Amino acid sequence: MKLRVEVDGEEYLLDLNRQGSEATYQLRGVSNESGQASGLASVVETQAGVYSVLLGNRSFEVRIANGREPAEVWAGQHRYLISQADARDSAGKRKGAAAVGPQEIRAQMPGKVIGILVAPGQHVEAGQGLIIVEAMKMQNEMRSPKDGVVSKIKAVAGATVAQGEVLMTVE
Amino acid sequence: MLVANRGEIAVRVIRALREMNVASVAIFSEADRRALHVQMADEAVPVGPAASSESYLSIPRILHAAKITAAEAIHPGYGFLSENAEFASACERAHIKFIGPSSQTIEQMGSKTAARRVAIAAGAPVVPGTQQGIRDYDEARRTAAGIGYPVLLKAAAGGGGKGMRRVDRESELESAMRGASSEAERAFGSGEVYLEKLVDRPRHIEIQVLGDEHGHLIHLGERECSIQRRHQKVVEESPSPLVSERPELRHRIGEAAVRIARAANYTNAGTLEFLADQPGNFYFLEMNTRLQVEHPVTEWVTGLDLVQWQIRIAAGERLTLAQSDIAWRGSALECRVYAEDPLNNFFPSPGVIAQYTEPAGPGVRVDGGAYAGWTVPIEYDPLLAKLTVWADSRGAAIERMRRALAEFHVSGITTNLGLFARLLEDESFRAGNLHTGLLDEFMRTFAERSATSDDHDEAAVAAVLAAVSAGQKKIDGPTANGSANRWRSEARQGLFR
Repeated sequence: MKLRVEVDGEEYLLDLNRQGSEATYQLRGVSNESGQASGLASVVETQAGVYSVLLGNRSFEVRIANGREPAEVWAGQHRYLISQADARDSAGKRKGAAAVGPQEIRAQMPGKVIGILVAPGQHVEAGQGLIIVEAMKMQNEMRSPKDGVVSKIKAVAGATVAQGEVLMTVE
Repeated sequence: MLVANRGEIAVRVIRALREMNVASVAIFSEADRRALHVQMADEAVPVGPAASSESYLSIPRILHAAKITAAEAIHPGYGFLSENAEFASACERAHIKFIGPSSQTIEQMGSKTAARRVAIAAGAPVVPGTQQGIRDYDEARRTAAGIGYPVLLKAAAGGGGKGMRRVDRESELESAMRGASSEAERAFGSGEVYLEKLVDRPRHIEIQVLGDEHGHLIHLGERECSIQRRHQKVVEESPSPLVSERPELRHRIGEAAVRIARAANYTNAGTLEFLADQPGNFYFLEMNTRLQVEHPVTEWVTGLDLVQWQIRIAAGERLTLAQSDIAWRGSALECRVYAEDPLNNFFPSPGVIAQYTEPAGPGVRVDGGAYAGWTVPIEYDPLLAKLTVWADSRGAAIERMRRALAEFHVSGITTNLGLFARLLEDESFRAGNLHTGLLDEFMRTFAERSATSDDHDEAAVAAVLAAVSAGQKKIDGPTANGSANRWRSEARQGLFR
């Protein structure tokens, strides 16, 4: 069988062929030429969300945190975000366009707006501090992802904000 | 006994109580109904809303909880009310034993400036600087010029790095003073700041002391806590590599600590913090009049149970150990596992823990307060667990920690576990050349180091194959359409399940 998978935003083609109790695999990067691997593998789920993967004789314990798309997958101490192409949305595509076009600055977690460091219409540079949000007794200064102009400020100093709430926009 | 705390330290104290056959009472805020310490205690009492000012910091509510459960004593843990003289005094008035020193001692040693006066009177070395809070900018300018830049501004009433500012030149002094003072005001209710000489590349070395209520007090050696982020410790160890180089240092610093603690009539467990410079000069900084987060490393190397001793001492028992009875064996390391993102300026990462597996095996101890399925609340310190290891040498302890970290798995939220794995490979860390700025220096290259790894590619392949297998299992559910998914039914027969 052939599958398209996305690993940390990179797309791969996976070709899997079952052979008895094992399978051969071939993984190829779509845009990344060096992303190639092939061999013999065995995969078993040992507990809910925990997989034992043997690549040849190399043993990996892989854990999949459920309920997410893309899935959060840990192989040993490495963490990957993996989605299968037929199930994926445009999340990976958005990522590539990170600093182009209007950028919405969103609260990373619930908290309180402590200070707004810029004014509407102000020109800002990439990395410049825009707004300070306090959560868990820590102050986090959110910085501009690009050179641009602050077009909209939705946040109000002193207000509490929810995770993912748009605080301001930089164009 | 009521445990006036939450998280891993509440769990730690409850474990000691269980070993001593003492019934435990947990308290919890509305955010902590599902917390581990509530499940582990014999009884649990709600004390108010999520905001700690209305729950874990509410003296009347906690005393009420003690009253309705007929608790005879309160263990305050660390943080919250542990160093609050008013709380200790309220316990004394209510005839509930506060596990710690007297309210007078807490008051005296809780103020850094007063503690410093005690240390000077006891003949212990202190960092050059002011003894009192600075009145105004003019005084600050004159004092700083007198002791020489760089200087450090610090909150008189606080700790944990809040209200602290490094000042390299006079032109920065005024605004730094304003910043430190307002931060101190917000954090501790007092804007009083003082000024001291900044020791370059300092090491943070602290001495654990233990005193009974019959006038006997000893020290249990040092811990080095130089690995810090935002002036907060993240890795601690005993012995200090500096002390391993100069064994006489333990006795010199230990004696200074005992002199100060005796001068303060100190009882129960306490910690005296010192700054040491690279040649081994040391200066008293402040005293923590409570159990320390990093107490397990001392427990590893001395073989003593500090929490049990705290309780026995509070019950009036004599400390039956002489200074000469204390022997230090091997080397212990601690990593504080936080729900935070090292790649995003250590920003807290609360949320639901999807999976949580603690390491085990020889020489490994985990003091945890988290579990899979639990939501790390945003209201409190995001410490999930303390991972400590012991081995017969520092090098072996580092390897053991590396192994244990690899077994520690937390998903669903971001943690600093990956940072520790890299830090243990750092040359300066391995050589024991520690200083309080080491972690900041390390972080400058951390992102790059994270991106490169030997077995990365194979791990990615393993991850992909497991993810595909998991995806098929889901699709193979009762609603799957067999004809459209021939490869899936093939997979179901044998391999990927």
